[in-house]
Amino acid sequence: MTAELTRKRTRLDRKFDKLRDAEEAGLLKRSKMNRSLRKMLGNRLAVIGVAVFAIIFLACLLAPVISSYDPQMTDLTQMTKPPSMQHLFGTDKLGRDVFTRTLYGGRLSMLIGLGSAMGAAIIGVLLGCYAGYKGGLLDQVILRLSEVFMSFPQLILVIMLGSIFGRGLWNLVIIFIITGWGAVYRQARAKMLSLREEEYVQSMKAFGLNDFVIAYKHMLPNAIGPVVVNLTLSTAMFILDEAAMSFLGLGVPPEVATWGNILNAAQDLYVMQNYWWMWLPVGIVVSLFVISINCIGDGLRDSTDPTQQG
Amino acid sequence: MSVANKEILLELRGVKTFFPIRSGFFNKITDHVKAVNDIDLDIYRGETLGLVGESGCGKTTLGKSIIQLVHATDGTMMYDFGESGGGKKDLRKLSKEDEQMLHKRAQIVFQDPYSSLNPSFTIFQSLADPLRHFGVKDKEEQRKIIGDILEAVNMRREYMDRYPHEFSGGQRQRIGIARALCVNPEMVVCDEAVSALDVSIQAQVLNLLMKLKEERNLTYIFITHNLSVVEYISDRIAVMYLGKIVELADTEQIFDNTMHPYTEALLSAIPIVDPDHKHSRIVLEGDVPNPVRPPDGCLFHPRCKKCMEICKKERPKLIKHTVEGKDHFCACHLYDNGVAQKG
Amino acid sequence: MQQQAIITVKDLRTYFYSDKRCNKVLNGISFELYKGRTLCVVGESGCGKSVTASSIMQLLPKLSRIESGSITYHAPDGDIRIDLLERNGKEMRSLRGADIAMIFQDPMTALNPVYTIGYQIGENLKYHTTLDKEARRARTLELLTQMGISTPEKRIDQYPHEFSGGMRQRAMIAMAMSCNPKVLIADEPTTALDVTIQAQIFELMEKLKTEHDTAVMLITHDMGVVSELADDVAVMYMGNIVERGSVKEVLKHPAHPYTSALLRSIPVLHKGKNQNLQPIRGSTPDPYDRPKGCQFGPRCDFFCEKCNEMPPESPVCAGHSVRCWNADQVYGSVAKAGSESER
Repeated sequence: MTAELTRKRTRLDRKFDKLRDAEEAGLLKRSKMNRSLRKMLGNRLAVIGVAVFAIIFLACLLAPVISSYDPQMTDLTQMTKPPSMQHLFGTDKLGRDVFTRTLYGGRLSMLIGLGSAMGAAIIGVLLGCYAGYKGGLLDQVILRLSEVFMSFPQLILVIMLGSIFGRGLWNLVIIFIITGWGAVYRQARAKMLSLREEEYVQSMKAFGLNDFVIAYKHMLPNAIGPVVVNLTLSTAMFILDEAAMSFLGLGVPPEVATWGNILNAAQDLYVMQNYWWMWLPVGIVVSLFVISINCIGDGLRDSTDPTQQG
Repeated sequence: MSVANKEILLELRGVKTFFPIRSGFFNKITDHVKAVNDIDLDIYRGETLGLVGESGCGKTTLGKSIIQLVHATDGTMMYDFGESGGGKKDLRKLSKEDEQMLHKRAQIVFQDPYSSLNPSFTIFQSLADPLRHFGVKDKEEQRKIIGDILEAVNMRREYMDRYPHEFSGGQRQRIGIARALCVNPEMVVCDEAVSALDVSIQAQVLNLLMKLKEERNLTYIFITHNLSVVEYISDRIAVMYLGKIVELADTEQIFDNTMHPYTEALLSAIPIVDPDHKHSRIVLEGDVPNPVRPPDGCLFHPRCKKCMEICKKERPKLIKHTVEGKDHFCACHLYDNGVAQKG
Repeated sequence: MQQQAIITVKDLRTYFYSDKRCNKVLNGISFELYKGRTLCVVGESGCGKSVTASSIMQLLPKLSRIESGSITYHAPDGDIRIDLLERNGKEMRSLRGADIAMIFQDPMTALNPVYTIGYQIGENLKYHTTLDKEARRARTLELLTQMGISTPEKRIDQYPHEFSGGMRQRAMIAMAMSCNPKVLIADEPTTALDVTIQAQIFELMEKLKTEHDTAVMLITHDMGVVSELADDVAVMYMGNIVERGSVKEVLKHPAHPYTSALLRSIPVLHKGKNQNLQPIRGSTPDPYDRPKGCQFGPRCDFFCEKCNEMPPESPVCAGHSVRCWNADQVYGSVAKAGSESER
């Protein structure tokens, strides 16, 4: 055919040919799988992200099974030993096993990250859902309130709370929630504002249904998608925040193992230069974990976005 | 037709629905969109009233004001709840209980089959809540009612456990009708109920609506911009322009003895499926004016071909004329001295 | 009368691809566009009528391609095979806008909101003509005046949001007509507009067609529009042209069961309540799960064994061809049904 001769054939063309032939042979069937799930599985980065996330998550969860050391146990005979079969990531200045500390630290870091993100999401969604649906004065007041909370400087809050109640894990969680719910609220509210005009919502109104039932039962399931995506991304953000705070010595008490506290060791230039195993492996684990969560988040966003075809 | 006994179901007098426009630093109300501007209208039990007009003429707002999805800002809307419901009551001043009674009596079918069903609920889940709200708490009974109503709209009972995305546009629209009918209303507002459907599906839904009306003795307010559809389904037609009714009469009257120049132009603008029929279009100049600042005098005068001096100053009232022995309401100064021999 | 073809489409197949599937949107369609004539392509949503337009304009989405067949543009200086041109190559871009112009359904999204109307029309002129700045402005003013836009001197420097829907569509047409194209493709140009505005746009398009001898391809789903504006009509169903011919022939004596069923299912103005609407049963099939052979088979009253194979396009009479094995029966039956309904 002339058309075939004159036009440049590209890789895309060959893929098209394959698809067409398969379609003509009647091989392709409408996939029974959920479209979002299918798209998620088709996204290579997201699948890798899930795998990396799962490995790190499970390792931290099963820390007592994987490692026989106690994360707090100091062993002065084993100080600053480089990685070996006994100590995969080596030991720190007090002779604690860095690998074990990384696993146990992961538990707390994830708890802080996920806990804060969940807390912020729950508050933000509960408020955003109702205020977005009702609108009016209530919505305006909460909107301004969220702006006030979002403009609090995290660092100063941490120092303040720390000086009042002493340093602790829950301080961080509370502060992350206080400064974090506003973003979720705005997102949920924006989604509800557009859903409010949908005809199924109007129809439920025409039946005279209770506002709470309409907002939380009928609308929320359709508004939750972007919030869940954001949940993953803010988990990653809070984990990094925790690491940063602890690195600065403002977070969790130094004897408790979290990723940030382990990294804290690298504040010392001598450690940084001579004992790379004390901070590099943890740093890599933290980065991998955060990147994997971000990949999952992006994958989720793409797969739940109906405007993206394919 | 049950129109003959002329029992008034809903009596609208001076109904206005204005939407405030806020602007400035303090969000002060600076102006109003006069979506529905002083409407008098009687709706008879058992009739199909067609409400036609172009986009922005306020027909949907009027429909939603009746259902109380939008709250009218002025006027009275007397709804006859019958002896069991306590007689005539103004919809604008209903108590909480009476408002629930209205929600059970008057329902609405929407335009867009793609946004009218909740995508994350099955059909059963979508329809069960309204039933529960009106006292059907038992799940088996809910399933029975929903199954029956689905069969009434020519769908299979089993469909109630499917999700909306599994249905085509026409099927969704029928589910939308089923939802409105599941509480056994007596009046249904059909807001552009067939406009978004493909032509081959429109007839299915239209015929279904007519069948259901006969079976359940419903009253329809049929809102549409499509005059061929409204002619097919309505007993009476009200033509709206800029929030006002300009002409109101029996369907045949409107089509055979058109009075208002706007209706005339509207009718002539509709393309007709008949290759031999090359009629002369009356092409209106300009656009529909802004409903925030409607023109003085007759709202239609800036576009009217028959505009007179008086039309620019004085707003015509909707006056009852008698044409060929039938009532014919029209708001136009052309007929101030009675109806000249028409036709 | 000898008609001069300006675009010939032959056995065109366009497929859309997704990650896992291939959708055969156009399945071998053939037609011609003639100078000074309007071809209406009519069909339901998803039948491929818009894809036909974008195939000619080479404006197909990235994951799609013209599989086989040809689109030939009979330019004054020799034929050009449009389907062989590079999608965004130099030749295609110089054709687009200058020789073949297109109007879209939604003028709001087709016009760029950050440039003035005058600038956007001038841009097209700048690209395709050698006029200098002054001359371009003069030409733009002239075009706006031709399109019936009042006070063009003021309007030329306004932004799209300051125009009403009808005015925007006029501006779109002005842009499309700026280089006196030989072919004008209009994709549902009035679907987003009111009937009175639609009448204005149609008036304008008719005028342009006769004055400039332009070939017009009008895509629509409204049979009324077809009968008002078309000289020729092509009825599409699921990626095939099932019937084409002169408008009088096709609308009066449809030879394809789909066309005839479609005509019987739409309410016609001025026929009132007495018309007997016969809906087409079922719904349009899933494009990924097409029936074998004739696509209309499962919904057709004339279905037989033979229909499991795609019928070829065969002539019924001069200038009227159809893709149906039982065309003779359908062709005859309509006359009979017509006389029955008149009783």
